[in-house]
Amino acid sequence: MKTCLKNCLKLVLNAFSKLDFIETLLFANSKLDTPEGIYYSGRHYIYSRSAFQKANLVGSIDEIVETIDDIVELYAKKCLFLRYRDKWEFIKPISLKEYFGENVHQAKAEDLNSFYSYCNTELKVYGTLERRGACSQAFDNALAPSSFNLGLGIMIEAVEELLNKFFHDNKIIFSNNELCELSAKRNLDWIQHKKLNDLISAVLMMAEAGLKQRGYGEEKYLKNVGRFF
Amino acid sequence: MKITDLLYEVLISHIRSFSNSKMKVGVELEYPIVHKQAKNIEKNIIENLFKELLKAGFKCFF
Repeated sequence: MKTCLKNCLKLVLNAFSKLDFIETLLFANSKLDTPEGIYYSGRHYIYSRSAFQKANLVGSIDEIVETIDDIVELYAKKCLFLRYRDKWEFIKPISLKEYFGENVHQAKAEDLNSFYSYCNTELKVYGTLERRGACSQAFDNALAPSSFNLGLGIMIEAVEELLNKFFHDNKIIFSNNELCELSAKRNLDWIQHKKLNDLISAVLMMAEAGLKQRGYGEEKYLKNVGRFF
Repeated sequence: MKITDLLYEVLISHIRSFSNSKMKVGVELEYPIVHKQAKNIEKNIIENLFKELLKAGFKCFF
């Protein structure tokens, strides 16, 4: 069966963004003692309090995208902070929409070559989708986050349905970024333990099923995932 | 220059169809290595890191 990523792009972006807090819960292992308490994802803590956050260049996607135009609009809000004019120039972060829309920045189309964004789910210029995983350890578990995302990418329709049901049934009103913040602090006690456990088990089973469907035995990389739940 | 057209061209137009079994996957792994006493990292620590990666199933391309 052939899938066109372009057709299911909104599905992929929406579902993976909702999955971000589970990914953090399962894989983040970069503990950081901060003035705001212990964070299990040091990367989340640092990124979410950095200038990158204000420039829309890190974190999860909070907006629900429905069309390709929505996706393009989402990217137009992201900021450019670097460009090349005989040498690299750092510029005050400015949204792509403003940079290319206002006729005062000497914008060139090739300035997009120096556009960098580090969100958890990103479209790349190679025609690919990038998932930025949580910092996880140890070495023998290094491929688990990639396998997890790959397997779920194949089962993305079922994943979205499962997540939508979970969000609806549990009346979750937090944004995806807020959920990541709570997850990074392991502050999810407000969700019934069994319900969260069931969700994680179901997601892991879907990831495994997706990998089995590919037929390369990649599901072996998931064998130790979720052992603490 | 309309940014929406430009973004469509750069980010969306290159996306292709794929079959699930042939979908290619690239994985980038980052290992920041920092000395607790802010000193240079000894070479053998890097070498041992690569040995551990090989033990974990990674292979060299060269």
